[in-house]
Amino acid sequence: MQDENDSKWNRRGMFKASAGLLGGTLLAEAALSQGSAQTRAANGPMKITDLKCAIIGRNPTIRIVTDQGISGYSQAESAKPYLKPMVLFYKRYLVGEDPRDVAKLMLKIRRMGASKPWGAAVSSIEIALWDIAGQAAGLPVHRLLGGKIRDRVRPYGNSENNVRMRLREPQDYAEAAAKLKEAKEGYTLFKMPVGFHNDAMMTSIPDAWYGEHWHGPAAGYMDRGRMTERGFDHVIACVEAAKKSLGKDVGLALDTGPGWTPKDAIRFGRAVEPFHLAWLEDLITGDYTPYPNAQVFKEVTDSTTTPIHTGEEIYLRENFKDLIETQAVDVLGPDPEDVGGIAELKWIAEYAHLHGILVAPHGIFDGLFGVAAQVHLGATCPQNYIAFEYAKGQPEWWYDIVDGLPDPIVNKGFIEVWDKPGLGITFKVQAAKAHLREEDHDFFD
Amino acid sequence: MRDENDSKWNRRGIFKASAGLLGGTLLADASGLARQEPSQSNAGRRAGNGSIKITDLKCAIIGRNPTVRIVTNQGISGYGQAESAKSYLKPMVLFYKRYLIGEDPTDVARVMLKIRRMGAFKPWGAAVSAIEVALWDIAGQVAGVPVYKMLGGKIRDRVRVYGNSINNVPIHPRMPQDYAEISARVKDAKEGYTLTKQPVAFHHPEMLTAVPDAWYDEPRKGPPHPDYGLLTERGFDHIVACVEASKKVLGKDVGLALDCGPGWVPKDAIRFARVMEPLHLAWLEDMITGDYYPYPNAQVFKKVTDSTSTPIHTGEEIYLRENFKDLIENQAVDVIGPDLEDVGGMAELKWIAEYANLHGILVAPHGIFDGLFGVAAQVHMGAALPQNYIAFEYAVGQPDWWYDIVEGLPDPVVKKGFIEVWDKPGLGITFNVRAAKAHLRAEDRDFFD
Repeated sequence: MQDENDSKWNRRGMFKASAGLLGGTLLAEAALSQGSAQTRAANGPMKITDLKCAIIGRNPTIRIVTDQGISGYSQAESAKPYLKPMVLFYKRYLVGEDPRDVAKLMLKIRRMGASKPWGAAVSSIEIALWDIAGQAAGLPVHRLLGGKIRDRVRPYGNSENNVRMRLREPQDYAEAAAKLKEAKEGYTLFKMPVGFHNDAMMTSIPDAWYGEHWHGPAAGYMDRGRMTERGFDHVIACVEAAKKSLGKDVGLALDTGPGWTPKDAIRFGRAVEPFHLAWLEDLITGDYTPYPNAQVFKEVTDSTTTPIHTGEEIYLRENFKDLIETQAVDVLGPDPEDVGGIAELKWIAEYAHLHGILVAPHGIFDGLFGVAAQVHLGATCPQNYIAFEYAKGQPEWWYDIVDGLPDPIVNKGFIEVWDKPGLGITFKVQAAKAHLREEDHDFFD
Repeated sequence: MRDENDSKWNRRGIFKASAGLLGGTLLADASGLARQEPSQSNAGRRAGNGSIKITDLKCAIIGRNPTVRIVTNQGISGYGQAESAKSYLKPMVLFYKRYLIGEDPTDVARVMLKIRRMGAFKPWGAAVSAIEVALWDIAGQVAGVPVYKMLGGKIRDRVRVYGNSINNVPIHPRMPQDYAEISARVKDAKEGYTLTKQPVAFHHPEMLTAVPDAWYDEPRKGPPHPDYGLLTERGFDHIVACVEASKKVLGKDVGLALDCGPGWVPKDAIRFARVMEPLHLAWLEDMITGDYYPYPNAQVFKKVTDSTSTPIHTGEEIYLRENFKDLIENQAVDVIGPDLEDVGGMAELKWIAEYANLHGILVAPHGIFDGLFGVAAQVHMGAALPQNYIAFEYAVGQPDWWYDIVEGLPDPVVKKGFIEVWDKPGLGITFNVRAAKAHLRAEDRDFFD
């Protein structure tokens, strides 16, 4: 189905055509039930006939449809409900291709993404392709990524989606930590937001830093600057309270920035050394910073025994080069739904391992298909793997429309790896249809 | 105009709100003031002292150029454009609307501080960049000064352009004789270019596939510049023959730059640059990484750059100064070519040019598809760039009727290879609204209202 005009490709022509696509002209598609088409398709030809995107709940959800009755599903972060036109942007590169040639398709589209949020569509497409490739081969995705080296995968819990409270004062941190410890998932490792990553904390005392507090829609992670001694001490007091409550049984990581000045970051890294933290995340650059600052990270990392972490916003292996090859951080946290997909993240994990760097993938908003992708990925990551950030179904009814996840998903802090083909989870179409928005009503057709 | 609920911001909240926006629910324009585009003559002085606020951000695809209009409560609008190659850009522009409404557009730096983090490498920095240009257009009109004065003032009264053969000659060159022909035509162009750029090698698949087995991989399809690999000797010689044919026609009167990639392996790049040394080229562009590569490869570029006296150039796809750090601080290339419609805007590009100058690196901004508002922005910026400035890549109005709907450009725009810098406030060009309206698509028909 490759458009033969493509050989006469030029920059103008290409985009001219994709404009129509974004305008919403979806190819008609024969609805095929998902039965047991898998094995039938293993050897014969297979082509992508459609790429669809629906915002279900808040998660952009992708469906790649084939002419063999197999569909692949995936999700992007619930934080990106605006993603539909960006997903459909890639449709014309995919239709007519064999979805099982995942590398070939990714070679086509990987260059057309960028740092968060602009790599999310490419990343989600990659995961849906693996879902198809696994179903077609009758193999779980983890076997297509090199095979698993662990039978259970460790998630870590973020207080942001486990405890519904604003953390402002030390007692809030103590309380949240106590609640986290009681979570039914039995997490062995937690992350909590502090410093510039949590403006509720930073504004709960006057003049915590030498800069103005930003308001308004773009204010997230805008605050930055040198901390006052009062502000610095407040951050430490909150961490101390959390640590006291958690003890040594449960690990504690901190999401801290971005926005710290290098010397404050160094002071902080050193001050928290007695707490034996799992890591300090995004002190310098991080979420929605479209460039990593490896030089400054290295200065911080080299100054303390506390592990330094970054990477959730970074797209593709090429953009990890400086961080990894200069050992600028101790832990990387790419998100499979932003970095370019699960095979891309696995490659980066191996690359990091070569340099003594650990991996703890980001994923708080990745949705239930994201959890499944993380489980397959985590099962195959090398021994530098710590844990992935666990996502919840948001809203709760997500658990009623997805089939195939273990129940409970997390048992004593781990998820057992399953062996069903593809991602091994799928939609209960009837139940899911009830939650489709008007404009997405034909998503499952 | 700020939504007070926003102070309870979190990652989910912010995007929840922006979803509605992209879904098509645009905020109501509360002011109702900016409905009629005023004559621009003295709106500036009127608005000089009052408080000015952004009331709307609009985007229309006019011809093929995404065109951005920032509307204010003071009867002043600012315009910017994105590349005609990005006619899908409208939802990406509107993504930023809620960050802009209620802000003072003359505080350009503050508005940009808010949104610059929310862009990325080409094409995902284009919306932020076009917004930046439109903000400067407003700031200049309000102050009653041309934009170049807000960028530090001009150091030259005329700005050099260079002509890309893709824009100037409707021929897709494959063989040496084709290159000779496009060179002859460019030399005769009415613009009187002093410098021209031509596409070769992996930048131009028609040329490489004109000989069998030019490189050790299959020709690939897909987004721009999908090919990569080791060149065969036959392929290599074919490229050299084409360039020689061009050079023979152009002689020493008109400079020649080559758009080469991306896709070359390092040793081919080095071989090629050395073979080109006698031809005294202006630069070799994007041999390693380049257009639609969401990462620059400074290490490999440095190896090539250090190996030859031929200037090595890259940068059109790169977003923000932070992503030029390795290229510039390692002197990994000799010339950088950011596009003001992709890099984050004109002030961003000027800062990068100064930064490059500190490291002995030249600047030749990309811009082939930037549209007429792009040309105006390039002129203001080019006037203010330091002495490491070479020339900017000239864009033509596409389709031709663009020249009928824009007022304020010199006629002819380019004279003997240069554009005279003009002194009208803001960008100093604006729409002939009546004429322009006739070219609006149905879904954009309220763009000028």
